[in-house]
Amino acid sequence: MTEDELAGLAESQKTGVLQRAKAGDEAAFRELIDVYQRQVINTAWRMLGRLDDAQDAGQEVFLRLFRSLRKLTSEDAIRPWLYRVTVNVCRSARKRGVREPVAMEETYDPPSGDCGPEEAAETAQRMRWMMRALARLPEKERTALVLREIEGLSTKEVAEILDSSETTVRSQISVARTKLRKMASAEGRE
Amino acid sequence: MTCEDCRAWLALDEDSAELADHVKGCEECRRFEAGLAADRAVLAAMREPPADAYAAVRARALAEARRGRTRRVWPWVAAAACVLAAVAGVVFRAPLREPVRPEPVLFAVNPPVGWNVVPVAKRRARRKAPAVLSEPLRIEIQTADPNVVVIWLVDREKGTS
Repeated sequence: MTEDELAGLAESQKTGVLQRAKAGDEAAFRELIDVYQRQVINTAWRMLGRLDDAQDAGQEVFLRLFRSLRKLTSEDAIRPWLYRVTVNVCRSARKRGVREPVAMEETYDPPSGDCGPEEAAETAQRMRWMMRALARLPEKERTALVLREIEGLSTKEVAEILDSSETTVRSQISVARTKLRKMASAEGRE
Repeated sequence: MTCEDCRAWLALDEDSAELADHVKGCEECRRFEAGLAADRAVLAAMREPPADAYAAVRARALAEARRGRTRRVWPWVAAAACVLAAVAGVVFRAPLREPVRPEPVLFAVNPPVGWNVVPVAKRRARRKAPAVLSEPLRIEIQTADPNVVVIWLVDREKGTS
């Protein structure tokens, strides 16, 4: 079986999951949550700065997914739709006045990898600093940077999700990167 | 190219020979470029929330979805019940509203003495429906009492009742 055939098979299986979820199959809906929960919770976490707020946002996002299953025509539509809804839910949460983002010292565990303990500790420290720095960025710049750099989306995808132009997104990301560098310089972390 | 221009281009992910030349000869811009790369690496490593962050969200989302499904069904059930009740009301109450009409009491009487009964419909009836001529002409008079109707039966041929 060629790679294209395998990709097609995987796609049809995924579409099958969407169709089953639409038909009210709870197991299929659970599968959808399993596939997309990292994307939703991580994006919300980086936007809101608190893991418990991100979990609340994630719950709201998946509930909206459940209510909107009939509108989704294909598996390809789910991913960008979820990013858009996640961003909107997080923005609404900020407007409602969720707590200010905090550093992740109390909740954040660095990913365990092949590196040694010293390197892992250094990585964890850099991530904590980055979370604090992200929290200090304006919301639009932070959102664009999170989607581009953390979620790895293209500038075009970010622009579509944020309903903005690619030029604007590139500018927001550039400004955000420069601000992070200035913060690092000011704190002697170059 | 100034250092400010160079950093702006670097932050935009631009790449050009002029930019490379400037970075090569400028230590601060080299440090800026290295810092951008380090930031990018840190951000890229921030793709995973803690593993225990998922279970609670999934459980709560599924529970909410179940509740939402129930909430969505109830209005339809209520609407269906209302429609059924309305239909049942129409079906079962309709005969009760129908006015009860008593069967009229029919009897035949002779016309009063001296009345000249002329079979007016005789010729017309003959032209239009000759077959009916054998039947007597029927004249109904509604009295003040709705239960009493006076009926005259007149012989069409002889003009007598």
